[in-house]
Amino acid sequence: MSLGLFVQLLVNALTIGSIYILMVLGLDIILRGTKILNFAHGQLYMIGAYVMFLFFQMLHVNYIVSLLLAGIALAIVGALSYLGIFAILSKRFTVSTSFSYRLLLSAMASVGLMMILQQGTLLAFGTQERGIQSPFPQILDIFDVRISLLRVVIIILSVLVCLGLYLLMYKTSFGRLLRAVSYDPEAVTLQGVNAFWILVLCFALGSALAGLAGAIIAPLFSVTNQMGQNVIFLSFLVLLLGGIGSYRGTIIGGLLVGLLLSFGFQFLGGVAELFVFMLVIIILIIRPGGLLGEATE
Amino acid sequence: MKKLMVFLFLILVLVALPVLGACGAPPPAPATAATGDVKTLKIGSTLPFTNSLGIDTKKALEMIIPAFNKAGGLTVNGQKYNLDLVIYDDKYTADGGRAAVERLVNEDKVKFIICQVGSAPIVAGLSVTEPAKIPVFCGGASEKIIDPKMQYTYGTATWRTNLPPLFPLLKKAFPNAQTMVNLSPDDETGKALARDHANIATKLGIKVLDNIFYPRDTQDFAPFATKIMSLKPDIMDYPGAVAGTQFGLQFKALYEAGFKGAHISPMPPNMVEVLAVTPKESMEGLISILPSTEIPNPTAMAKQYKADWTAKYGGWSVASLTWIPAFYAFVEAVKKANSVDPEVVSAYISKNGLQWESPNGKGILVKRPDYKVDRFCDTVATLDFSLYKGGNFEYLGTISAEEALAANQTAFGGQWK
Repeated sequence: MSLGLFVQLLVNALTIGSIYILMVLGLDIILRGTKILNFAHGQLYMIGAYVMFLFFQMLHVNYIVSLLLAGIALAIVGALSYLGIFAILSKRFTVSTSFSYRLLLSAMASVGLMMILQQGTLLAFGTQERGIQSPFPQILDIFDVRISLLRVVIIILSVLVCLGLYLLMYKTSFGRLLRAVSYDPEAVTLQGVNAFWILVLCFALGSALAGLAGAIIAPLFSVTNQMGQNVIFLSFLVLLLGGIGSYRGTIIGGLLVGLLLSFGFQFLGGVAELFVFMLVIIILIIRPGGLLGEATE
Repeated sequence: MKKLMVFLFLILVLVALPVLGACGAPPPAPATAATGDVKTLKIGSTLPFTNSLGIDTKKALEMIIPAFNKAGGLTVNGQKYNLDLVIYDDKYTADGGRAAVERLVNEDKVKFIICQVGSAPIVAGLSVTEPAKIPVFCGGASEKIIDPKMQYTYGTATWRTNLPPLFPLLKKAFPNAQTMVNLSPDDETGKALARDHANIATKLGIKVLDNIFYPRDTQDFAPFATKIMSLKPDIMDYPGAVAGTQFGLQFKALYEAGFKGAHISPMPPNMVEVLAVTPKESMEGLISILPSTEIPNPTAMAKQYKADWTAKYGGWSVASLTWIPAFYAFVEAVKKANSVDPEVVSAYISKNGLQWESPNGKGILVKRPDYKVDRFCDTVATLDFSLYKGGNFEYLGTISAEEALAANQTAFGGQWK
């Protein structure tokens, strides 16, 4: 394999991997904090792409501002979804409601949310695919290696978002509260903190990450109302692969899936996806909690 | 008491009459229902409402058919008919297509089906239309549409016949091109066309390096482009691609990977959608069908169609043209057979053939001896070609339906008329 081919495959892998990382970090934050397995996460990603289309393509708002607006818009959608569905549902739970039953009901509610968001987008934007002009159409040609500048920007943006998330989670009091709530919400409440609003913010933050992922990727691909369904399945696989509750695991899982899909397709063709599933099965047999997670309730 | 009994009896009779009447009521309105002295002929279509091909074909039919009815509709054996078109979403899938066709045939009782787009829904629907003896005038690319077992199905698009006339133009524009890669969707349409294109290219002396398939909902073509670049083809072909946004994503990925060869597309690209996702430079070297409305001297019918579309919908969609010849073929078939009986119409055109004029030009129904089909079932038509150069489509020339017929007979062999 030539160096040029290797670099191109690596850039493809990092681009796709970084989007899955953002998606799964959002999924993981929601799952750890609110104990909701959010099947509507793909639709939040799709709406992020539509918001990007609306602001950047239609209203010609600055690229970075459009990205921020997509993140904010999805945080609001996420918060409202939590308040309108999951908060009401959780009030029905009693002390005797088992964790697995709560998880199942929340997952079912998220399937309902998924349908609402899907149909809502369909009504608002129709079925037609939308294209967004690349904000960075330049091609970097370095020693005969051609790399799209947009892909490089996507990778950099994803790294910045991950860094920002790390600082938020580990260097701020809000992050500490969020982590504390994810471990033991009752204990946090006993400390005089209103855990409910922390959970709302937790769902909003996870949704914002999905929206940002959709908005970041939108100019690279096209915007369709099917894009959420395509991405959610692999996102769950990345979550299982990396391990629930481990940010480092998520990053490693996302990168592994990106590398497998990119290099696998080059040498094995369409069966590359099969190898992702096989890898997940093997990892789960060896380590039921995923690469860096723990197999606990 | 007697009076009360008589009164009750009368009440019972009054209540029972409408019920009894309903029991003996005639069956639901037949597919040809009279409205004054003009009858209604019910026809159906299934289209994908999720891409521009389906959406724009639907809009085209919703424009053409009311205008056709307004202009007098069909006259068969002295009886006037207005067309009533029912369209369902086939979701571009086999399941969706079969369900939609079952509904058209069993619930709506349509007599003819026209203008379907995708092979997967069309082929799935044939298991309903063939036993029901419903003629289907459709645009799919699959060779299953012209299978010898089919008796009521007619392919009215040129997917199976437009490459033999296109390849000589390609060789003229790119004389040094020797090798080709097919990039196709991994469904019925893509696989059928990839096979066809590979066969034709091989016969014309072009080496096919690989047939690469992608799922229909693919958005990231970078891995495909990287693989294609490592094969170093001179020509890229896109059999079965929907020439809209996804087509643009394919060009964008190849452009970013550094591809500088020729591209061929038998489908005219929807440039509004394509250029929304890829730069103009990525389209350089594309030889494709040029819509008949965009050639230097379009026919009066093509001009009228474009003017009507623009007046009704504002913008202009070349994609709306691709699938409508089926409507004109259907109208001509009914006129020639002088009957609205599906079996009579089918028997007539299968035996005698058919020619029609549409905004796309002339269409001729032909036999396919290479597929061992002795009835008229497939189409050759007028084809206009262009080369995308310097950011514009450069008109390469027009191949008449008769020239297309000759080119196909030479390429595939046998007597097609």
